Amino acid sequence: MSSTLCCSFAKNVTLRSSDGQTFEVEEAAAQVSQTIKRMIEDGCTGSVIPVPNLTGPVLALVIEYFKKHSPPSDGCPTALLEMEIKDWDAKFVAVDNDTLLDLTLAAHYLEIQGLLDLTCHRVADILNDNSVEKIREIFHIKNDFTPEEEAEERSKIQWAFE
Amino acid sequence: MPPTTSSSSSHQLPSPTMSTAAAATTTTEEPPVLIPSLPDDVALNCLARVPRSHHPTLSLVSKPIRTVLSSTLFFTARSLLHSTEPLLYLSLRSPLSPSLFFCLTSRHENDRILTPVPPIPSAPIGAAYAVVGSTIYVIGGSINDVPSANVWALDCRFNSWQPAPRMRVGREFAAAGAVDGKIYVMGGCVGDTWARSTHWAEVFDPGTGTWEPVASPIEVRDKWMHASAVVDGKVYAMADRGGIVYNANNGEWESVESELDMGWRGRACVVDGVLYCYDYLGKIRGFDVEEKAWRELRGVERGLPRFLCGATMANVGGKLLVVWEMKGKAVEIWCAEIAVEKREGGRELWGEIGWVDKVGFFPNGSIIMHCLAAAV
Repeated sequence: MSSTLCCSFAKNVTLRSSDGQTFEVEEAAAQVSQTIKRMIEDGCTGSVIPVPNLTGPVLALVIEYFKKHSPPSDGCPTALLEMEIKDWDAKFVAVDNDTLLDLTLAAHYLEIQGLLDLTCHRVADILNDNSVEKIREIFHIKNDFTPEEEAEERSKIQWAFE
Repeated sequence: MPPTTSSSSSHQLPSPTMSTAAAATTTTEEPPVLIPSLPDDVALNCLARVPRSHHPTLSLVSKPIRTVLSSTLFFTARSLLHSTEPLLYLSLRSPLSPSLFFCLTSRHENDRILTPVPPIPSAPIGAAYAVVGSTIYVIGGSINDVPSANVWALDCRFNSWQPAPRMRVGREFAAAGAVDGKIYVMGGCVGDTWARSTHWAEVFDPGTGTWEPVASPIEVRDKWMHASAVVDGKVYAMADRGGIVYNANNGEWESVESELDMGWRGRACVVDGVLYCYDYLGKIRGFDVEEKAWRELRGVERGLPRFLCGATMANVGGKLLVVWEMKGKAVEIWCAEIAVEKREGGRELWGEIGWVDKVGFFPNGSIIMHCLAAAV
């Protein structure tokens, strides 16, 4: 890549994960994160940007998301492109439950609204598709009902389970 | 709802509000969290997107989740995320009780039942109904043969009844309709005194909790209403002979065009600018206010019984929900969801039945009083 191209198209920033891995990414793509965007605007682009809440593997995934969602260089996205991105998004969050929670947190910390919507929606789908016991297991939720309390709660809403 | 971060010159990103590692090392009692490893506002963002049919399951997962499901915060989140769902509410009169309320709840994709809602604290006869957002207002009606000015509000989020501010005059068999979040009520009283003629029509603003009089010309007053509907910001109130229309946008009164008046039978609902009602001869018909003509709803004959007893209907999320009674050893309540559309430039109305379901049964002599939809 020639130096002129590099300067006009691909200004890069370096992100460093909590475990010290560094990733180079186009500045425009990284600005999908409102948090990083603010830091770039504050003039932090010269140095490495630490992302202490994300481990290397999660940051690597988030950077994939950045790349797919960075604004197109040639104007408006087409309907076809939007559909392709939708498909890509669905596959992107079809991950194991712990990775999904990590991505949800990452979207929250880095203020990536699109990714937060995507992951929260996926979490909601999982909550909707599973039984009480399975939900507790997947999301590591402690059952704080006594057996008596749980039986009483269940009898109150018996109609829903008949 | 991300945290607001100060634009400091520091390169550090905001720290997590709570780390699981920190929580695990705490020996004292942990604060209740909805989903461990997610901050509560993010967990709320997830929970608020779950369809209402799964809320009973969610409520059994843990106490913090059960608590949040019945919080104002939860419903605000649903509203902000555009996750509210339209629900059908039905009022019935049975030999045992003059006023029973139910909500149509879906347990699974193809399994719906009427679940009971606490009864209205005082059951008026001939009340008018209007919905604003997630609140159903039951307006006036007579108690011990005296027209009442009382208004009851059913907050459909918590299925709880609250008294709302009283009207200036008592009414029975009034007409009511909501336009832009305000409720217009008219008739149901005789304009025989200064107070009653001034307040023959009133408007209620739930935001401020106040009733204001709506000026009305003398010739439209003095009428008992048997049906009402709102189309394009106009409240249609049907009296025995002729109906009237109040345009809430400009405050003007008109009379209902005779074509509409002739064909309107019983309760009606409006979907996409078309007023639908059941003609008691076995047909669902729609009146397109732009076309000014009644059309039979086609394409639904095969999926519905030939005659629907006590049929009434509501617009539930843009679909026509028809409710009727089937009499046998008990009164069965049946329900059908119909997607309606205009064809041939509005000259034809076509419906496609989504589902037909028996949703409940009640003692003989029970009848459907009213049905309406609220967003929860």
